[in-house]
Amino acid sequence: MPFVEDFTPFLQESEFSTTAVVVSTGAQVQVIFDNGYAAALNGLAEASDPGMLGRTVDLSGLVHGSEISLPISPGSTTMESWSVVVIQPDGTGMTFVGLRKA
Amino acid sequence: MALVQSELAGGSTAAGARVFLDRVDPLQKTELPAILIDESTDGETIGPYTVHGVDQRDLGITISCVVTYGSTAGASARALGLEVEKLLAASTALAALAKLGVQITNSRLVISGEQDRLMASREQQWRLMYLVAATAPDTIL
Repeated sequence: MPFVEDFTPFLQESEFSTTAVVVSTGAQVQVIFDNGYAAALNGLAEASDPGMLGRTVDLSGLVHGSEISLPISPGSTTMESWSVVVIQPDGTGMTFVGLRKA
Repeated sequence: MALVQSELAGGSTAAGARVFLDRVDPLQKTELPAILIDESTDGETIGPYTVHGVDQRDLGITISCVVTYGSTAGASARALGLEVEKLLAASTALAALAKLGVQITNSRLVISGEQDRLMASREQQWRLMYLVAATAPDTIL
C-alpha cells in the first residue's frame, strides 16, 4: 500500500512559504522561495541562485519559460516576475523550480 | 601585464576603468561590466634566443571580459571581447615592449544560466613575446 503524505502543512505562509502566482493561469500556489548566493562563471562573479519548492500537483502545469510572480521580499505586496528555467520533480510529490529574472 | 591593464583601462571600452589585474575576489553586480587580467595557467615559457646571452620569453595571459546580467549577455560579452582585441592589436606601447609579437591564441564564450540572470564572459588567451638579457630578466630589450 503506497504511503501518501499531505504536504500542505509544510507550506504554511505563517512559516516559511509564500504565495506565488502563475501568471498564465492566475493560479496562486504556496511555495518556499530561496535566492541564496551562487558563484557564477567559474567564480568570476557573484550572483544568486533562485528557486522555489512546492507541491508537484500545484506546479505540474509549468513549462520552461512560464512566468511566475513572487513578492519582492517576505511579506511584501510588491511583486516581481521570474521565468521558469528548471523543473525538478523529486518523485515524492514535491517539485523544485529553478527561476531566472524575467 | 600592467601595461595591458593601462591600455585597456584607457581605451574607453564598455568596462571603463574596471580593469583588474590579478584579482582574486569575485566581481560584484555593481562592478560589471569588467575586464580581468591574469597570467594564464601555462604561465611563461623561456628559452635561449639566437643571440648568446639573450632569452626569448613568451608570457601567456588570460583576459576575461565579464558583462552585466541580462538576456543579451552573450552578445555583450562578444562585443566587449572585440573591443579588447582591437585595442591590444593596435597598441604601439605594447608592441614596443613585446617586440616579437602580441598574439591572441584562443577565445571562447563562457555562459552561465543557472543564476538569477543570464551571465557571460568572453575569455581570451594571449601571448606576449619579448626578449631579455639572461642576466637581467627584468629588463626588456
